[in-house]
Amino acid sequence: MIGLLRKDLLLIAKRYKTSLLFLLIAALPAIRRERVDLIFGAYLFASMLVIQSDLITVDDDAKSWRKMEESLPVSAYQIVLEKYVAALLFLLVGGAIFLLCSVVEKMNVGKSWWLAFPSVAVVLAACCVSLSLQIPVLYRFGKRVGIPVFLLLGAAACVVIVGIRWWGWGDSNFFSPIFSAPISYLLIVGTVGLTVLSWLLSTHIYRRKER
Amino acid sequence: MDTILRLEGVTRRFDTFTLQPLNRALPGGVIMGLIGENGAGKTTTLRLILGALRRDGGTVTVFGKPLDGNEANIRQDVGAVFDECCFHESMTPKNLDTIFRGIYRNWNSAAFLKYCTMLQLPMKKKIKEFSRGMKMKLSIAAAISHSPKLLLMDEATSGLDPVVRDDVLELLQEFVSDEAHSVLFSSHITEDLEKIADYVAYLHKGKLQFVRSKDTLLYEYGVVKCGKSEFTKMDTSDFVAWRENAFEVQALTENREAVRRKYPGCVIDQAGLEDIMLLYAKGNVKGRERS
Repeated sequence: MIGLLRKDLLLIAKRYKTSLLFLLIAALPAIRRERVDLIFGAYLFASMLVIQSDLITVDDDAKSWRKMEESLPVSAYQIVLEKYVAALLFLLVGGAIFLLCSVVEKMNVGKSWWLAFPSVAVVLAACCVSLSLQIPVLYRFGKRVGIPVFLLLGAAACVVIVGIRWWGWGDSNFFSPIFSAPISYLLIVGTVGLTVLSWLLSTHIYRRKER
Repeated sequence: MDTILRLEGVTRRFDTFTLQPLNRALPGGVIMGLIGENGAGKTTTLRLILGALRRDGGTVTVFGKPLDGNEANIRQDVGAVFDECCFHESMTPKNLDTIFRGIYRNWNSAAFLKYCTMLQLPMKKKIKEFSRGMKMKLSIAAAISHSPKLLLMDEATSGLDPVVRDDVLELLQEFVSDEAHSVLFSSHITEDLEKIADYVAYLHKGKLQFVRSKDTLLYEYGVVKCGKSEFTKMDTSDFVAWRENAFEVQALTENREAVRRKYPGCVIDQAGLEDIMLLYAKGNVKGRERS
């Protein structure tokens, strides 16, 4: 499985090296303008949507990689698990940078750095939920259906982020509890469970395909 | 020689095609060629051996272990080469070395480098810049660098020029010089099998027609070429298959010398694998209704 992980990390790094660099560059103005959760969070979420879908479709692009995969000493569980691990690795790296920027931002304005955690947790949870939905959909329906669906999902998420930041949704009865510390942490735990279920479902779909 | 691979009653049904129960054993240290027309079941057979396809019946035993439940473990000692290069085009051979080192327990980077050097494959060039011949050579180098006991090749030499094919065949011969290695090689190019195969299995419409040693086929089989009137005087039980065209009849015998003695005046040539395949596929076959 380590080899498959290396393959996907290499492929994504080759494909998105400019974009990943831009992610780092985007952090600086975001900190200065106190918009880390909006600018960086939205960018991270959008990047994750694209990278996650690419992790699955990159093998379709190679057309015959699936044949090769069938001959490798790895089980279907490992093949699918590797996709989740790769996506989570990217997410963790992005999440760590996001957290760092948020902490710097909070400290710059004299707030407690602890306040940075809930919004990071919410964005990471949103990324995990999208991952849990996106991978089974892409395995089952392919990129022709999967990518448009998740572009819509991404657009909806961006509207929510803008709504929270500028339209006062963050203070509404519906959204404000999400940003309280205990609920945002519970959200993370819930998404871990959802991710495991998603992995099992994706493996089931993968094993049934073309056999 | 130990048996590397054993197929017992292996079958698979599709909507338009059925692989009839397949029984065969492959001993260690041999190259077995699998011939047959398009859609005869060669790729299906190879995929069933890999466990990539679900079987409808029968058992596959590889290295003495049943395939079911041991697929991943067994594939540690199996290499596969397909009819096209399966690697991502943005990768380089050096990247492949990094990837396969994390997949195969026995991956040997030094051997991979040796094969790439031998086949003149640049390690740092992207695969998309490779020619088809280079891509296939790379596929083979990658498939044998973990020293698999069994190498499966599915039409791996099709579309290659004679020079590249010769390089590939040389590499295969070096690979099986170690008796622990066996190759199951499906190909349309019967010439390649004549060069390197020890045994030849022929599949026709999903049914295994025969498995013979190559030497038996080349040195004992023969093709009689005669006129229709001459052929009617012959005993058809002397032939396994025959085919008529506007000018002559071609008949395949399993015992060239016996037929030569029995019909001293007739022309009888050595049978090539292509002749045998064509006569079985398109002719009247003893014990089989004409298809």
